[in-house]
Amino acid sequence: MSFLRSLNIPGSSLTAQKFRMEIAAQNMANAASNAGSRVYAKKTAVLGERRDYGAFKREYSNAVNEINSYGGVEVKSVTEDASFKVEYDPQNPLADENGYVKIPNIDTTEEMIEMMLASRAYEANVTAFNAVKQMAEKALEIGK
Amino acid sequence: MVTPVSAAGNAEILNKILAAGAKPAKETQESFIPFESIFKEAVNNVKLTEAVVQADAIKVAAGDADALHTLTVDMAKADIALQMLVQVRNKALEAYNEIMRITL
Amino acid sequence: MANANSRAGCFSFVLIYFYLVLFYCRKNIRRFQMRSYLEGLSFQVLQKSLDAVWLKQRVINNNIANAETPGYKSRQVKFGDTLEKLIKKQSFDKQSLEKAVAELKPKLLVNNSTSDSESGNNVVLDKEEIELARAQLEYSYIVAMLASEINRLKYAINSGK
Repeated sequence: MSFLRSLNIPGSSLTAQKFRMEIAAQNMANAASNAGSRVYAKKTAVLGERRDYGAFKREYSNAVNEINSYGGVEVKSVTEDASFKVEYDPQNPLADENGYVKIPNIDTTEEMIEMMLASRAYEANVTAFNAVKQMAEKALEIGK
Repeated sequence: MVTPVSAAGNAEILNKILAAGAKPAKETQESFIPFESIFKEAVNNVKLTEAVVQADAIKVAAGDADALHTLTVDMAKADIALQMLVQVRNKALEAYNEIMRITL
Repeated sequence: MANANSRAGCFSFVLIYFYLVLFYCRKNIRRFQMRSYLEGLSFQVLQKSLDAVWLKQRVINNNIANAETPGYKSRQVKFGDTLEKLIKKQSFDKQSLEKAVAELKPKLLVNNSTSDSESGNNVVLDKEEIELARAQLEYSYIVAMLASEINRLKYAINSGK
């Protein structure tokens, strides 16, 4: 597949965490938006384990093949939550007949925490990435 | 042939036992050096280690190189095997020249 | 001349003896010790350890990457426990040591303990980071031991040059 495939494990996580941050940022940006009848749907990234089976399906044949199929993590799907809160604002041009405006059910604090978690996970995986690189470079010293 | 051993865990116990059983189980008792077998073995080692290094090179090109220590160890073994063969050849040549010098 | 004749006779005797030795060799030749010095005990155990540490780092990195994946159970590589049991016995012989080294193999364990988090994930990130640092150091040390082994062999082969 690629040279030093083990880099894909932390690498996949870097991609996934970045995506998570983007989703959280998008949610935060749209926290107060209201487009009338259509409300912004809060997005959530669903993470799942990623596997690289390569050319053949080698799962579970032995410990080595199992471990060689590990691929880190990936975003399996993005769920959308279209639930909304209502706010009484009769002056708003988008208010319905009772004066209520629909706004997305987004808690900015929650989204901030999500961003911090994703950032922390990103850092942990950067350390892991550097560890793999350092080990591979160390292997060159065998023949010296 | 010397089988080098590095101690793991209980160093003294290991060293004692391994020193006591100095004759490796596989080798037969021989009171002379069978030079021909040494030379053949050296050539064979070079062939084997070279083949492994070539296979590794193909794996790298095809993109299947993950555990890179395998590559470096195989390269080092190929080096050692070739150096062994060259030294055996040199010694043989020296011995031959020595003998040729005697019979004058 | 007597001198030359005796010389020739001596030489032919030496030749005959040499051929006899070779003939005896051919009959008693031991089965090829394929790379006996390249596949010695220390080479085997060091290479297998290096392979095992590489698998360890893969598993640890997979745990770190999946530290927030719902339902993920952390995994662990176990290696060298049979060897440890053998050495603890203190009265083993070289045969069983060689056998144990030949059968050395890494094992994959899944930690099915219940997790603290509601998502079912039981990865403890700090522990995994410590294990990663440990694996890194282990790798460096085994590389150093292998390099030393190889350098000693080369030194011996090249008569110190």
